[in-house]
Amino acid sequence: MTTETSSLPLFLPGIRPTRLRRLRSLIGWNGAVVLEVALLIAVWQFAVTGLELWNPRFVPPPSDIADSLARMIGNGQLARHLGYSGGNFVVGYLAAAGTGVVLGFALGSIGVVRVVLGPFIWLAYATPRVAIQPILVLWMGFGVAPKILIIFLMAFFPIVMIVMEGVRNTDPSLLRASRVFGVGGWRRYTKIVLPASLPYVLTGLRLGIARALVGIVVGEFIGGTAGLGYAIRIAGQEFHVDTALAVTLVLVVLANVSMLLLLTLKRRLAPWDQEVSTRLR
Amino acid sequence: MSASIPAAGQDAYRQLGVAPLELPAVRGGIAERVRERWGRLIVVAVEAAIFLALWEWLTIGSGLVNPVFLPPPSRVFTTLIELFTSGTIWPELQFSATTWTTGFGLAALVGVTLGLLMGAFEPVGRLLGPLAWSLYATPHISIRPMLVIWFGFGAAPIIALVFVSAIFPILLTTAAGVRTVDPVLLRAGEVFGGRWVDIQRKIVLPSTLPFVVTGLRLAIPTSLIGMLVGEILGSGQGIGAILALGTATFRVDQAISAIVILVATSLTLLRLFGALEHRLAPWRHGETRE
Amino acid sequence: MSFIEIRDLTVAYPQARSSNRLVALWEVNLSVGDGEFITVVGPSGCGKTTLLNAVAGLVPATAGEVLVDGKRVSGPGPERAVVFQEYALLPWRTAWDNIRFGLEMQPKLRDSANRRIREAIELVGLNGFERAYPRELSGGMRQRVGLARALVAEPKILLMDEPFAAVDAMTREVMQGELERIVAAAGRTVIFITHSIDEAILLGDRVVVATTRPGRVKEIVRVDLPRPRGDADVKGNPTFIRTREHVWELLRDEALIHARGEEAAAG
Repeated sequence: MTTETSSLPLFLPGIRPTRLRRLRSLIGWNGAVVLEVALLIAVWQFAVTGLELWNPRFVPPPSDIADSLARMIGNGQLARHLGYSGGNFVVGYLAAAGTGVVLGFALGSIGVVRVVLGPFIWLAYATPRVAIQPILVLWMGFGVAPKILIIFLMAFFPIVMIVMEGVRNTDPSLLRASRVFGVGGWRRYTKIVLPASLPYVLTGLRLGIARALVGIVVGEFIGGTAGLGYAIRIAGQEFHVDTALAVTLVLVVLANVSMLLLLTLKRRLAPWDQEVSTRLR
Repeated sequence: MSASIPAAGQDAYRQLGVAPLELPAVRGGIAERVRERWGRLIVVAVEAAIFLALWEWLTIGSGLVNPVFLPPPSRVFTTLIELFTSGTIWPELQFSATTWTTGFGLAALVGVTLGLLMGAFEPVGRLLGPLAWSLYATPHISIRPMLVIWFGFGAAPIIALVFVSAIFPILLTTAAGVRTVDPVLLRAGEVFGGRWVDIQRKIVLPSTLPFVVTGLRLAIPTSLIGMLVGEILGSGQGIGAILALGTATFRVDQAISAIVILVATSLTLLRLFGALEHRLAPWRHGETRE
Repeated sequence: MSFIEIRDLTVAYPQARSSNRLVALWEVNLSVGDGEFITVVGPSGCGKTTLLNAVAGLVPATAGEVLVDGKRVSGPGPERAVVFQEYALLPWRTAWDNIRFGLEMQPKLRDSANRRIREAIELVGLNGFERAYPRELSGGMRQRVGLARALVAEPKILLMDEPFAAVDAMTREVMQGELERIVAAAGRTVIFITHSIDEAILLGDRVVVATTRPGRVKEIVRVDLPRPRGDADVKGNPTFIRTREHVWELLRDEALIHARGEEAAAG
């Protein structure tokens, strides 16, 4: 993003623009965000404990949430839940990534495959896979199998669709150049289509992770016996809002860290792809 | 000299010494024409037929799959019809429709407003943006148990979940839309003496509107999932409830019927918003001229 | 038989919104001699790019044919190298590797590849930028990479589609001079498309003036100016001015015809 402010008038009566600019240059926008979050937490803490605006059992103050989190880390509960969810995630996601990317390329490059398999993939993509979960539990019971399967299904389809789109959207001028300079057949594929699709593959993988996380939670909500989602559900049933929020916080951190990781990976491996700011991926 | 006189062959033009602007298409045989126009549809229809036939055979014909676990499409179909004719479905549909519309509508209102603010004023965008992005990436359904504690069972937590699921795509897309207003257009507006209000109305709004609709469209799948999960986990009402009840009572046909209804609704909504998007911004989805 | 023979070439494209095909070129005839520098000028949308694409073999002829050295053109090939208007550089490769792309399918030239690439870089003036990526380069620099890529395999024919359109006026003049020098040194045949009358006359041995759509050859104007032209103050030369006026009048004529045609269609 450029440093040029939006062209709409920034009119804050009372605060002269220069003071704002000086403050901004002092701590930078990232610093401001950190400050903002800290402020929110402080206000929240004060509102519950100091002003007693809400019943702390219903809206726990940040201190309680922190305590719960510390407790769960201490007695190894968090590690156990993380291990369970994480294990399922790794199996399901890696399977989805492997098959999804391959199928995405196949669909994108081979017309016959696209025509034959396309409608099925599209229909499966249009079906909310979350809805399948209860049926999966019915078929497969309460073990890890339905959970891994739902993670796989959630991640698989976005990956396939995005990779396919990437392959089909290969810059036509590059393809023309390859024709002129005699680069054809499979060489055109490896030299042009593959590198050109890389940003899409990474974007698809990133979106796949986000969906897979939903899969973890859904899988453990509906017929779960362990894991992060299960922990939240049980905490909710027992009215331990602080614990539930603590585990949710862990999920938030996990989600953001993995998204950031993949985004950085994409910027490293495919620096030429200027991501359009409107693409929510 | 040039003219546009279709339906004449090339030689005719040559003899006239006239250069045409258009030539008629090369008309292939009947088979080719049919294949062009209806090809896609035919393939899909044939595949659907094969799929359904295979499914039916697997469950009833060959007995390979126990029909208790996977009922044949014929059963699903009759159950689906029965749901409608017996009237069982209507209160549930109504419940789902009301909760979803309420949650989505609220999300749209709040989301668009906040999005406009975020896009227009850089401090707001810079401060709220990271928060919104980090919450966008998190699975929203994980707060469902909390929502039940705060709002009880019933419609309220579902509306809340739909709201939370829908608001982030709407917010972020709207903000992006405002930011991508061409600054040249804005300057042109100022040059031609537009006041702030006029510029908003005549330049920013029309430019941003397609993005708003895109954001709404993007929010549809996640919001429907939010509604579904909320209903499955126990409000006792809505399409999700039919689904949950079906699996609980080993009536998988009922569960699949619920899914069919859900898919149909989802597709219709997506089509609607997609068409609206197209109307508002036909230039965005156009093909590029080579 | 000339080196490049274009005979009664008609190209029509299928359209999105109509079953009729859009005629881009109608019965174009042109003969290009070996080593000639042909420039093509014409109003927008008159099919100049299509003509280039047809000679390149990127677009099939609807009727008529294109012959290169007596053989029918049926597809693209590195002996008819193209310099694209939109650069068409591989964004994940450095300038050096992008230039190497022009050689990759010619194993005979592989041994001398490094030498050739270095020569091409020298020729187009890219020294010091070999390891830059396209996104780090200006429009003019990117176009030089495109030119180097086209030259590196020593093609017999160079096809250039408004290559200097995105370049500023100063750089443009410099590159025109360099192009003239490069082409003359190796005796290549060039078809060069441009919007600019000045550029067409400056560079071309003959200027093909095209009509509005559907594209036809309105007139072929011979340029009687000695070479090299890039260095001398050619634009003040009376022959230049006369030729320029002539081409300008032809184009104005076309513009009027086009406008009248639109009036007639509307009215």
